[in-house]
Amino acid sequence: MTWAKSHRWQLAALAIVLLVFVFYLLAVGAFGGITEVTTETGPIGP
Amino acid sequence: MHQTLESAFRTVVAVIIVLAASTAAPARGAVPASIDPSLLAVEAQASDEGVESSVAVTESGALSRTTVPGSMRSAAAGSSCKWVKGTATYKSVLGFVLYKYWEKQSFCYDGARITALWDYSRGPSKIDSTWDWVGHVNLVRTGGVGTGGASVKTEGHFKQCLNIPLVSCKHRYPWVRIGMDNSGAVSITGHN
Repeated sequence: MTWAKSHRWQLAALAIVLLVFVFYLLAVGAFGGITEVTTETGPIGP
Repeated sequence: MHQTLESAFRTVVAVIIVLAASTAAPARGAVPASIDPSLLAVEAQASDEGVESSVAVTESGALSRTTVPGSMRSAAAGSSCKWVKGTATYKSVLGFVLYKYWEKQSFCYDGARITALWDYSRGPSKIDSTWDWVGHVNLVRTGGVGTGGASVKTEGHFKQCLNIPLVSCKHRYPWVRIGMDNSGAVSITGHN
């Protein structure tokens, strides 16, 4: 506990780095993603 | 005890720094060494949203041609015509677009049959820097001119290599299918 108290800033920095890393992995689809299918149509004249 | 904890803490920090550095290493637009050089032309075209297109497309992806080409006018006489575009979009769980894969087809119909098919195009677009376009892997056409309906299905290949130790590359094969019938109805199906 004493060690954790004396290193709280380092632990906080480590937690932030971990959060950023996990956010990055989520953002680039490393843990899967969502599929969407869209349709566009338009008229063509003679 | 304190020394052991401190040593473990330093090791964890070092591992995270190495992982972050190796993951961020590939620059945007860089072509991995594992890609066949023959695919570079396709890679370059991908940014134009015009891969395998026989007609210019606008920035939004709409066909710039809005009339039937001269070579098709006799076949399409008395018909109605339209273009259709289907897009399969793959997003991360946070909602960021990772890549899009699309195909387009123009066709004419007279209520009894498909009278003309032209200006087919397909390709990738909006590719995230961590994903790479590899190439088209399949194209299947059914029906056609003179029949009651037609369909065209294309399949592409994307891959993601994050350079994280013990994590292998991901490969995805999105496909899009456009179905057209003699009444002008269209159906789009797809999957990433």
